[in-house]
Amino acid sequence: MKQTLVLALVLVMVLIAACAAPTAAPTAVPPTKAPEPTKAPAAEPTKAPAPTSAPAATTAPAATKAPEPTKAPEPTKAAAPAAGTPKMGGTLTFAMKEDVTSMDPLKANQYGDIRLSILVAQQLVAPDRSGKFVGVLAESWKTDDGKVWTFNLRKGVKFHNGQEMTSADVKWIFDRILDEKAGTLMRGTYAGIGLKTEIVDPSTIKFTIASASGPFLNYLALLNRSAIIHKDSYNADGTVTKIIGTGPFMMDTSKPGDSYTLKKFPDYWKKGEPYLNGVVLKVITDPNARLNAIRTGDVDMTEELPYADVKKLTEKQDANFTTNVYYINSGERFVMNTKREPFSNKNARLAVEYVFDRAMYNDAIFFGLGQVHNQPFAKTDGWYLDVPMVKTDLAKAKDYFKASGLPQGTKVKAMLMANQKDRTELLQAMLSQIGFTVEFNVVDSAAWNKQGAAYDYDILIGTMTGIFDPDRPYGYLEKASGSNWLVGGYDSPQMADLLAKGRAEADVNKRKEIYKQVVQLVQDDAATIYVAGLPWSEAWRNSVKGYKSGTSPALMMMDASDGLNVTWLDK
Amino acid sequence: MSLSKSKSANHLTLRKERGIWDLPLRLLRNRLALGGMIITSIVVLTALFAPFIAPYDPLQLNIAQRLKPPTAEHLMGTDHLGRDIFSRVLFGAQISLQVGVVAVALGTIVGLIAGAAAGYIGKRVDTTIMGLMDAIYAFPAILLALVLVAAFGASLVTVMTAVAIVRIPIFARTVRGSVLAEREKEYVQAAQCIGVNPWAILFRHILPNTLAPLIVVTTTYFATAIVVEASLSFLGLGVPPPAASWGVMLNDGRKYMEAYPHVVIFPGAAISFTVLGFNLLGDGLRDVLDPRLKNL
Repeated sequence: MKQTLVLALVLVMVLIAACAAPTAAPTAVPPTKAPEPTKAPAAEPTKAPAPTSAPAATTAPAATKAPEPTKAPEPTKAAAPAAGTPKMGGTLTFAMKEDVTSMDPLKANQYGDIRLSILVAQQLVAPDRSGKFVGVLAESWKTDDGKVWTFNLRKGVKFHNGQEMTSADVKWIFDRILDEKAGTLMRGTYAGIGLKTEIVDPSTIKFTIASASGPFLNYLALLNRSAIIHKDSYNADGTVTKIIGTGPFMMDTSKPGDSYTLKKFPDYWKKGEPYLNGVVLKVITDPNARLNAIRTGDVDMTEELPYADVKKLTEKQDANFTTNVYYINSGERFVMNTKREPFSNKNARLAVEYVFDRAMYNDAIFFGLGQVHNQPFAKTDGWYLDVPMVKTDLAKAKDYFKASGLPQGTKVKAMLMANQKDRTELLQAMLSQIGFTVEFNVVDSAAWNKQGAAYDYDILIGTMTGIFDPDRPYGYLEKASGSNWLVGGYDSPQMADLLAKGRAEADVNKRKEIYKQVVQLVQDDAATIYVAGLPWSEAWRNSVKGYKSGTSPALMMMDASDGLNVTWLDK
Repeated sequence: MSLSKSKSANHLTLRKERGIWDLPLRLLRNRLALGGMIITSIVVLTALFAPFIAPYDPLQLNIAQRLKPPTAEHLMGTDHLGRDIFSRVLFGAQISLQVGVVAVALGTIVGLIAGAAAGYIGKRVDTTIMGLMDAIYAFPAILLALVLVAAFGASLVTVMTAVAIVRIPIFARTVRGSVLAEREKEYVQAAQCIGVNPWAILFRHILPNTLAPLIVVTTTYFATAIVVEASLSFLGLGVPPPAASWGVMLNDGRKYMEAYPHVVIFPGAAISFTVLGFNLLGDGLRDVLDPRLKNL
């Protein structure tokens, strides 16, 4: 009897331990849930190594950039929505692909967190559809030398609890971000540039940074992680269960794992918006289930459908809903660990670079919907630079492999998550052509991050989003970056030098020249392989009017890009 | 006198007939069992000769030919990476059978020893072992296998072990029951009286007489093993890539099944076919071996 009890206890403990791992990292495929391969695969891991992985430029930012500083444009007021006069009212149901793991925007690490926070809470600035920063809670700003930034806050902005937003609230948030104990994601970044905030008057706030930083506005706009929310949002233990923001929608009820109900905020600062009475974010993690939900009308809108279906649906639209693919600065990259054999050997890396077939990868994984590229920017973005891509060349690849002196059948350990199986099988097929044998090491996302940071892999596939400035993706390519492991620990004095120059340069055209050299060097050294821009998909029923797909990872960046705030239902 | 003599002679022949050595012959006369044997033989032969039968390399990608429906060129069509499904199904049989054989062997040995010990020694040993078995049995098979795989990592060995462990209790119970029944028989008492070593009694006398139900349990065990492996693989915790087991193929194909049903139909059919084969064989065996049913 005693033995039975002990055994039962051990089993229960094993069970709990086994279950605990996946819950900690929501994108890991929990055993009870069928894996979900079409999910943007490593989007989280790149985000997950929290503070350090945010803009990697935490270390050596310098100099002035100040892009169009004094312009401070009026947020592009919704041009009359496409068809007809907007109808007020109605509740839109949206299928979100991931659950919310943290309500605190300052700790919004995962995709689902940002999805929710972006509708409820707002930042000082945000990029508009053209990628230009426009004021949201800030009406205008100015900086002289890039070191002192003065923001004039929009007047008459109310929080969802009815209180008016003032510079004291902004200061309170930035103090919290900088507070080490709060554990916010942007702390490392802001602390790195020596950020200080100062209240000038109730509607003016001054930021001072020790070393001038070109990408400062980027930081303010990054993934809603510097959102201004009311301090009453925080419970005594520092958690958030109800965000009190300034956004067009306010939180009503939350049922974690199931749905989040938002209702219209009547005192929203943009008069007349939003058109909807409410939004229900319904968590549907399975892409096929989302497709069924939009087909049957269970939801009015959905994100990310299976690629194979998106391909078919965009070729021939369904009678009841519209499917759209769009591109933002994001991408998948193939990473080789440069810290150990075989890929510490440059010839081995070049061999892989020449055998790597981006077009085939795009066809196989994204059904041709992705954007093949050699830099993680959308082709329409200003930072997509003219650097010719390396052409796949098997003969050349074999020559480099020979030059590397590695034996045929050299084993490389691929670290992957279960939903990256197809990708890795494809890599295996490519790499085996020149003499590598790929071994599969399937791990969950927590282990992926841990083993990755410990450089316990030879190859992996990473994903990155939230890119506005070249300093973020390319900043990884030096030892000083906390995210260096995400590009295989690549480091070279020449690269570090270029990156420092890029950060210090204020002139956009000069910066472009510098980053062209960066992209060229990435290719010459086979530092890492930027493979393809992700195809982002959304679909909405015919009754949804006036919606335009977003242009940033936050997709529904409300004010800057006219998202759900100007969407209406015609039911 | 003569009556009893003839009776005992009759009894002897009956015993001989009921021995397990002429089992194959008797199986052939049972239609169910025959069907089961044919199916399982097909599966076994397929697995053995997969490299010779398969028209393509099961791991060979061909993106241009992806998701093609069945044609003469690709008998079962191609999957999402353009691999030939027919070849993959053939090679998948190897994995399923490998898991089946090893898991069943492992489970049988452990279950046999545990069950026999519990049944024969009895008392505290019985309580302890059967308590343990009940504890294992309390968990749903898939859940237990999931826990084991999650704890020790997905590899072929873990999967086989997990599959073995989930079925041990059933096996042990069957053995224990049979041993308990046999233990009280006269021949055992006789052996005990003349001072035969208890282990010798157990292994040489009792166990051979309990083999019939065990064989039946083993065949159904086999079917379960294949299903559990497929389930684990379907959940992404089974045989690690790039190996293509049937469960892995189902999981891979799940995303495409609406538009391209052939990617899941064939591996699914392979699982059903194999399981059906083993179950039929098991049923047939039971009919043949069960003394309460009329001899055929």
